[in-house]
Amino acid sequence: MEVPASPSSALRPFVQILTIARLTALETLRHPIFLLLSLTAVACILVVPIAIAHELGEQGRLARDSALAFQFGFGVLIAGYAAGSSLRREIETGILSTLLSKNIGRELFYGGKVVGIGAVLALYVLVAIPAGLLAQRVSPLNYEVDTLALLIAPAAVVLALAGAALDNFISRRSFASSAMIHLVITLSAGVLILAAFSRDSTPVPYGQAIEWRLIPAQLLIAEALLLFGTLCLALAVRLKTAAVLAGAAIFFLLGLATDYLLGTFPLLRGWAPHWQVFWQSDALAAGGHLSGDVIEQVSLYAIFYLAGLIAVGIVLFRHQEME
Amino acid sequence: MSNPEPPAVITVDGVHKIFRDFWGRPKVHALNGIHFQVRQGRVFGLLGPNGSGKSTTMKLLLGLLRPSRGSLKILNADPQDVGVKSRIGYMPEESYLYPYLSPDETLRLYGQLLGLSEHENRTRTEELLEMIGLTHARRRPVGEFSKGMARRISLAQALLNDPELILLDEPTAGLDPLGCRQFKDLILHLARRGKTIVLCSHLLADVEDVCDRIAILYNGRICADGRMRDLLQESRICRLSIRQPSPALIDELQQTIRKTTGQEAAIDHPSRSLEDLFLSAIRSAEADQTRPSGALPEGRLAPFLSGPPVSETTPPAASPP
Repeated sequence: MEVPASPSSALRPFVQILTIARLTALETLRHPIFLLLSLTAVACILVVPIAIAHELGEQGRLARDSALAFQFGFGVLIAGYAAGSSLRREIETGILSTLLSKNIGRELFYGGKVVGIGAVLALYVLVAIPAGLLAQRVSPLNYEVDTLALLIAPAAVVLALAGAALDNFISRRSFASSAMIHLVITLSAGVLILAAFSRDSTPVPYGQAIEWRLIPAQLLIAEALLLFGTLCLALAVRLKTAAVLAGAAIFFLLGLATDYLLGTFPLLRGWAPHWQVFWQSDALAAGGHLSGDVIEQVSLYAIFYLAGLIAVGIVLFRHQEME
Repeated sequence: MSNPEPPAVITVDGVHKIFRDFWGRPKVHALNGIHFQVRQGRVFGLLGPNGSGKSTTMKLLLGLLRPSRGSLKILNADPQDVGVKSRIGYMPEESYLYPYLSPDETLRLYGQLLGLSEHENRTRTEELLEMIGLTHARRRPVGEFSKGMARRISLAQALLNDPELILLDEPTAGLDPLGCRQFKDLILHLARRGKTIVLCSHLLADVEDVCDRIAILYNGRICADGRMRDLLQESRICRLSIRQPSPALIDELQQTIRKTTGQEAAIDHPSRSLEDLFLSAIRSAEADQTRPSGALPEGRLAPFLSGPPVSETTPPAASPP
C-alpha cells in the first residue's frame, strides 16, 4: 500500500529536515547534562564578576570579559556534547539504522542534525545573553552593589527552576527542557525590569541602564559555537566519542593560536578556524561599540566556514556505512 | 494450469561483504557470495548462528551497507534508493529508540519522516499505540520502559507506513511466550494481506512456525535454502495418526506392517510443544487474571493493518525476474 502523501509533498525535504532537527533538539534538551552545563554557565557568568570586581576594584571590562568567556567555554562543552551525543551515539547504538531505514536521504538527515544542534545552541545563547547583561549590573561599581540586580538575578534562576518543576508536575513535561525555556523567560524578564532602573534603584529612561552593546559580541560568540558544533558533528561521523573530543580539542587550540602557530603557512592558516575573530571584547572597551563592518565580515567568515564544514560532513556521512 | 510464481521482491545475487579497518585492509569477510530471492507475499526466514551474516544481509537490503561485490534489488530498486524505503518497514535487532522521547512522540516523528499527512499520522499513531497496548504509557519516556515494551514500540514504527516489505531482525527477542505467539500471529496475518516478510532469527521454533521459505547462513555462505516443508520433510518415513486406538488395533497394524514390509513400526504418543502447554495454561488463567505483556496485549490489530490483502488494492510491486 502506498504511503498517503502529505498534502505538501513538495515541502517534504524541509519537513524531514525540521523533523530530524526537532528530534535532535528534543533529545539533547531533555538530557539533564545540558541543563547542568547551562546552569553552571549562568552561575559563573553571574557570580564570578562579583568576586573578581570586588577583589581587583575593576568593573565593567572584567564582568564583560568573563561573561563572554564563560559563554564561549561552556558553549564549547555543550556544542561538543550535543554533536557527540546525538550523531555518534546514534551510530554506536544503532538508532541511526532505524532512522535511515525510512525514506530520508543522508544529506537531508545531516542537514537536520546541523539545524538541530544550531537550535540547541540558540537556546543556550538565549540564556547566556540575558545572563551576560545581568552580570554587568550585579558586578559592583566602585564597591557599590546594585541591590535590585542582586535580588533579581538569583530570583530569575530560582523562578525558572520552580516554574519548570511546576510544569513537570502539572503537564509532565521534561524538567530539563522546560527549565531552559523558563530560564530564557525569567532572565530576559530580569533584564527588562532592570532596564527601567539605575544602579541605585531609581527610575531612568527605559533601556539606559543596560549595556545592550554587549549583545553583538555575544552573537559573534554564538557564531563561533555553531562552527564548533558543526566541526564536532563532522568529526562524529567517522570518529568515536573520545576521538571526537580529542580532535575537537586540537582544532580548538589550533584555532586559538592560529596566528602564532601557522602565521608563516598561509595555506594552513587559511584552513584553520580563527576563533580570535569572534572575540571582540576589546572593541567594547571604554564605551566602544562593535562596528557593523566587523560584524558583517566575521559573520561572512562564519557562514563560509560553516558551509565548508557542512559540505565536508555531508561527504563523510554519505559514504558512512552503518556497521 | 499452475499459478505463476509471484514477482520477486528481493533479489540478492552473488553478494560479498568485506568489512575493512581504518586503513582499508580487509578485517572481516562477512558474506561470501550469497544468492537468494524472496517473492511477494512470502514469509522468508534467514537463519544462522551469531556472526553468520544475518544482520549484515538485512543492512545491505536497507542500503545501510554497500556490497563489496554482487548486486541487490529490493522492490525492483537499488537499496540505496531513498524513495523505495517508504514501502519498507524495518524492526531492528535491538529496540533502538530515543530514551527521552515518549512513544507518542517517537511514532509521530517517524510518521513525519515517512511523509504521512498530519491526519494519517495521528490516526495511525493512535491505532498502533492501542494495538501494542501502550496507550496508557504514551507520555512516558521510552528510556523508562522494559525491553518488551520497547520491542513493541519498535514494531509499531516498522508498521507505521503499512509497508509492502517488512524486515524483522530477531523480532521476538525480549518477548514472553505469549508475546511471541501474538507476534507470530501478526506475521501470519500480515502475510495473508500480501505483505512480504523477511524474518531474521536464531530462534528456530519461531521461524518454523511462520516461514514458508528459509535460507540458512553459516560463515557468510548459504548452506541450505528452499521451502520449509521440503527441507524439514523426511519423505521416506510415514506417520499414521489415530485417535484413541484400541490395543488390539495397534497389535493388528503392527503385524500387518511386519508381514508386508518386514519392518518394525515405531509406535509413540505425540506430545504437545512446551509453547502450546504454556499458552493454554496462560489462556485459561487469563480469564480472571491481569493481562501479561505481549506483543499485542489488546489482542487486536490496528484498523489500518486490517484492510483487504495488498494484492487486491495495489498492483504487484516488482516484475517477475
